Amino acid sequence: MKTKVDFPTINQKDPDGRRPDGSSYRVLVVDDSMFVTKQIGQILTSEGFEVVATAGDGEQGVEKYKELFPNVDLVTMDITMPKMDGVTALEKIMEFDKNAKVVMISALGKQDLVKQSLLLGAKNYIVKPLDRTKVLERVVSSLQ
Amino acid sequence: MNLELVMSDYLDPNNEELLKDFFGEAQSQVDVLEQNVLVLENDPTNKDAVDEIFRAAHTLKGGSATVQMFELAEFTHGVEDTLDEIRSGSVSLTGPLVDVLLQSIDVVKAMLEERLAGRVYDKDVQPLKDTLKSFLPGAAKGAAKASAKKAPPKSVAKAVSKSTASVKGLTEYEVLELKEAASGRRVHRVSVSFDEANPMNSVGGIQVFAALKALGTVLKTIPEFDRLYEDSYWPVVDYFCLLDKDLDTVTKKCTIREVTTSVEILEVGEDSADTVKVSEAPKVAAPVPASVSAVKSSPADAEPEVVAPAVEEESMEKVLDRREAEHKKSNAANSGSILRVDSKRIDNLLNLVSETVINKATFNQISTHFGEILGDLQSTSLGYKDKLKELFDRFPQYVDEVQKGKSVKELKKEINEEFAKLFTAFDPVEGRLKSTVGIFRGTSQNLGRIIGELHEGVLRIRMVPIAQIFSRFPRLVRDLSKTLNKKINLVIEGEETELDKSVIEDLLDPLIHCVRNSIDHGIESPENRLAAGKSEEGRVVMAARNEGNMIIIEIGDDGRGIDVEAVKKKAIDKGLIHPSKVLSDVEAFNLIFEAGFSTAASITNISGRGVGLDVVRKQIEKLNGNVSIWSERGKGTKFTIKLPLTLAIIQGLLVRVGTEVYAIPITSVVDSHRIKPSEIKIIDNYEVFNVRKDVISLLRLNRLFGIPSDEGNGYHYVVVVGSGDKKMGLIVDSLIGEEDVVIKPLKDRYTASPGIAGATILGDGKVSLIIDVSQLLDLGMRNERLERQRRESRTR
Repeated sequence: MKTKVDFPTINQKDPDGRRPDGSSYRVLVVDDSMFVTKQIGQILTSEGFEVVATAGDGEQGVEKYKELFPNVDLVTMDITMPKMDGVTALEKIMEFDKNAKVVMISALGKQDLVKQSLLLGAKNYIVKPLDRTKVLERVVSSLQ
Repeated sequence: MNLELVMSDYLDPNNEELLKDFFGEAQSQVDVLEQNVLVLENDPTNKDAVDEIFRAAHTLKGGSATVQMFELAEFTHGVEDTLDEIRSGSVSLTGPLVDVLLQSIDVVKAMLEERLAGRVYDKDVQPLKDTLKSFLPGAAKGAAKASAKKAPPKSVAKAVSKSTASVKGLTEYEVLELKEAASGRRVHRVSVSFDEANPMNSVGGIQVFAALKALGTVLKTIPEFDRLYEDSYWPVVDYFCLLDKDLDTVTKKCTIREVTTSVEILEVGEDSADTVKVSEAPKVAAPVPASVSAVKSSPADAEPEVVAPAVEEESMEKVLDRREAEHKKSNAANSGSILRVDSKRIDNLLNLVSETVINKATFNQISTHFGEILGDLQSTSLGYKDKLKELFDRFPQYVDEVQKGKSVKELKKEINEEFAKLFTAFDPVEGRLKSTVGIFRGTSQNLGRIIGELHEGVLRIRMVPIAQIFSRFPRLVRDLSKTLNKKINLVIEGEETELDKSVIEDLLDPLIHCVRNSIDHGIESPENRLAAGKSEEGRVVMAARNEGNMIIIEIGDDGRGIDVEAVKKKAIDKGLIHPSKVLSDVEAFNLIFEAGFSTAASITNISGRGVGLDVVRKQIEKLNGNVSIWSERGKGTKFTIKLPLTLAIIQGLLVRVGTEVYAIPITSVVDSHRIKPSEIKIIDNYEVFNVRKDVISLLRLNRLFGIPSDEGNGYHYVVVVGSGDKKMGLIVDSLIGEEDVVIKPLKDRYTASPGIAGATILGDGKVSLIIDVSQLLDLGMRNERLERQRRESRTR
């Protein structure tokens, strides 16, 4: 476009959600709250990530991960969920793919579970309430 | 405070969708809370219910904090604390606690309502919070214990002594031990300070530990790993590790935003430089208890259980008012709300739509075929005509030849040879046409099937399980039974039955009326029940089921039933019926649906709200349904509500009056008759006729709607329509038949046409009006009553 020549672009920064080759990082969002799912989705897609799938409980999450593998780069995993909680799901995913990148989403007061998850191989955690910078920063750092 | 002002960065005013989701989800969490608290009340050991409650409260808290509704987040947090104790089993669920929990849920609801209206809940919730806290273990024994629970003094003391030791660095023995474990490799001390402001400041130690583990081997930590795992905050943690990566990478990996403040890596050497380093900065003091427990240890309240008895004292009116107000509000909130649809249903629709697309392609093909056939037909017919012309032209020649002596037989043969083709000229065209018509028929049949399914599919999108409203009743029944001091067991059946969303929304009110009626007037007090030889606990059953394309909802109780005599007396007092009128039981039951016949005011004299059941009937009829009642003295009462599955489409009986076609909703058609004019009798200036034992007044639709039609000839057709006990015969010219009609509302100045509920478009494109039976009945009844009054006043 012409404007590109006329005006230097100020925002040189590439969106966080893209690999150097321009393709999107693919994220699986596991959360029983549709609200949170949507929120994470909005934040991530706004930075060029691609939410490849969502799951409403741990069981589904593990299933989806296995289904998608290896076409998934990162998982965000809620801790408190029905059927199978996030920590168990994390364990299952790590069993399946020891290089899986999982970021735990936790509410306040779940320190012990967060610690357990980190030791089980979670790359990072995000404490609710979620906000844009926090989510992006943790997700990006986990991908590096 | 303005809602928009308090939204965080990504929740800009344009992100209303997300907020809408939040409210939607919050609503369902509240429902989950309420339902499960009630489950727990009956079965305190139900572990699943506790988990559900906890999860719902937890999600609600998280969500509300995100959308920055802090009053909600804070309050739910308090509730969650109490729930946590219930979950861990240290607090058992008692009656008063259930009351307080329910009250808290009400507050949460109120907070949500306020937020939805763009305001912030401003009432003081402290007393309730205190009451909640008073149920926590140790609350009675004072704050000290509460805090002690989180950070036992013993461990604090131990930690202090231990950490002071570690301040001085490692003992020689420990250094030796490390060296041995390192087996010749270099040991690094990674010293990380943590940010106390982080909301989970006690997690950092483990997080860095996990990070370091990925970069090498962690031999030892100060404080020890077990301590790190405890829920306490350590300002500085030292990790002694064998590193596989260079120091820059390690520093980078250990620097976590908002978690760590600084990272320092030193090699553990002979001279113990690190020892010096740490000792000059004795940062490691006693572990600071996590901030959460500090909040929890705030002084316990002095007045527990103040709120609980208040609930009991609340009068029935209040409960009902509150319920109603709440319900009205929620109704307002629901309008234009989001409908969640199972994705399978959408997939199904998509599938059907793609089938119609294929179908359309087939039709295109058929159309081309037809075009080709038409072309063929034209050219064939041209050839045919030419040949025919030739034949005619040849005639003189043939006649000549015959005259010249040619035998007829020969001539015939000649003509045959020449023109036999004429007979079969059209055969190929006909053959093709036949096959194409066959395909056309098949395709159009297919289209019909697909459209039928599509129609059903679209309707199913709007279908929601009736559980959505049934689920509100346990709470309502509980509150009512408490205020009325009756024991009631609510049984809900068929809650998975599906109904159109718009129907569901308008159904709640009538159902509440019915249930309230059953509990207030139907179920007796426990003493009376025992005296009557029934179990102490009354039983109210709400059941829903499908019957054809109708939904049947029954609300039954095993109470005292309806006193027919009392109803009659009351009806006569009110001037609703003539004293001499002989009433069947069913008619008497139906009288209680009359306007002005508020059951509460008279029959039982129990003080109540006196909400007339006429409202129920009106509402149900508005939904094209009907409601009937059955009762047996001393055994109970049962309301039966019949509703069409959807409002958009009804089964209609099409009738013709003059040149007009009207549709009568089949649900209100009782039967139809063909009568001779001589069977019509006149009573009180009214045309009536006898059906079995009943006398039914007649209404001529042509006169009512001012349509010119021939009244004199032969037979009349009478469609007997009715709702409840009222019946009326509509005289029409002929019956056309039953059909599904799609209701289109009348707009603008036609909206107030009495007797007309709407319009529909028939298969041939004509517009037909749909008759509003209940309005017609009212119209007829009113006329009748006016007439009678006028006559009575004249005779006096």
